Amino acid sequence: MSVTVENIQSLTSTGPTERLARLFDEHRDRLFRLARRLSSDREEARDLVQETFLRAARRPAAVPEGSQAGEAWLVRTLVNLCRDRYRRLGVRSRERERLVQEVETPHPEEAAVARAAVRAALERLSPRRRAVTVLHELEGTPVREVARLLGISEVTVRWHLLAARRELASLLSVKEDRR
Amino acid sequence: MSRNRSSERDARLRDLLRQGDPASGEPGLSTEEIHAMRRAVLSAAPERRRFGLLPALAMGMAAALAVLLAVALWRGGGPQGVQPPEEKVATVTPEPVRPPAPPVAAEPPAPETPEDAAPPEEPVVKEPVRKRQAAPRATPALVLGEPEPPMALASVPEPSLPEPGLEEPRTRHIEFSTPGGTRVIWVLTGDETLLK
Repeated sequence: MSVTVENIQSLTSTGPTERLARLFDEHRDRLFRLARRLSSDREEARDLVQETFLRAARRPAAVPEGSQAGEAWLVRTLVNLCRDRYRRLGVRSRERERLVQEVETPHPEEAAVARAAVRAALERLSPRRRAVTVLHELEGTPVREVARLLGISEVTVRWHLLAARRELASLLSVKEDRR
Repeated sequence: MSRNRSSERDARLRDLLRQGDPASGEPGLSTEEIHAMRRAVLSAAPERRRFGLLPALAMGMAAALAVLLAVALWRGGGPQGVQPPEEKVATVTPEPVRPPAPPVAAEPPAPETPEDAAPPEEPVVKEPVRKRQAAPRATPALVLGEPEPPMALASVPEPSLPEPGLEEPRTRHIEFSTPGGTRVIWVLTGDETLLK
């Protein structure tokens, strides 16, 4: 974290606004990366991050003290927001159809094709399972840390990972075969 | 064998996922996005800090006021609270202790006052009272055994006490003569009775 005037101000004061500013400065980049991996595009990821911090702003007493506990609260809120959005918009079926169609069309850049395939496969997973997979497989977070961040047990994390691998392997191998 | 195969599959899957990571190669939030988001988030935060102390302060003041009130009631309602009226009684009680009236002394010649009887009344009333209070003034505290009454002492001006050896006359004669030749003589005794 770079030393800025905002950071110094947030560290020297202890009010709810200053605490929120400190949380924002510490965790915004990490939350945006996670949101980008959990969402379909950049705009959606930005909205998710902002909504997460807005929830913290509206209920400052709900955010636990401490940087790690605050980070876990933010991650859980972000995943819950993804789940709400996933249910509300019915993204699952629409995105799957759109992305499968996108993957099937020949594309000049192989990396873009692979990215689209992975994104389509991740979209097939439920939000919590997707969060577990992203945190562990893409960000390299240990199982124990994933459990702490999401507020679930390690056994549940391993169970989600196992199921997600099976599902993703099935989806991506089909895609590879089609290519 | 199957374990090796599943671990190989997991490793291959991980490679595929990292290769197609949606966040790889994408820039993070720009400075403008960060500032805009920060402003939006912080403006949504309620400012409880300024008003958070008010209820606590009000409660503290109310508690202090209640304690003060309780202490005041406790001290005022106790047996010591009746003392001030008793002090007044103590100053009055020595009145019966009065020296006997001495015989009427020779009267000094009164000066001629052409005015009416109203002006000379002031010294007539004040003098016997002052003399009467001068003698028993120290007795109330001794008799009752109470602390000295400050109000009674402060209200009475300090009289010019006579010397202990000299006996002061206890009566006063005041004569008035009108232009028509009428003479009025007042004889004042110590017990404030007008003899003539």
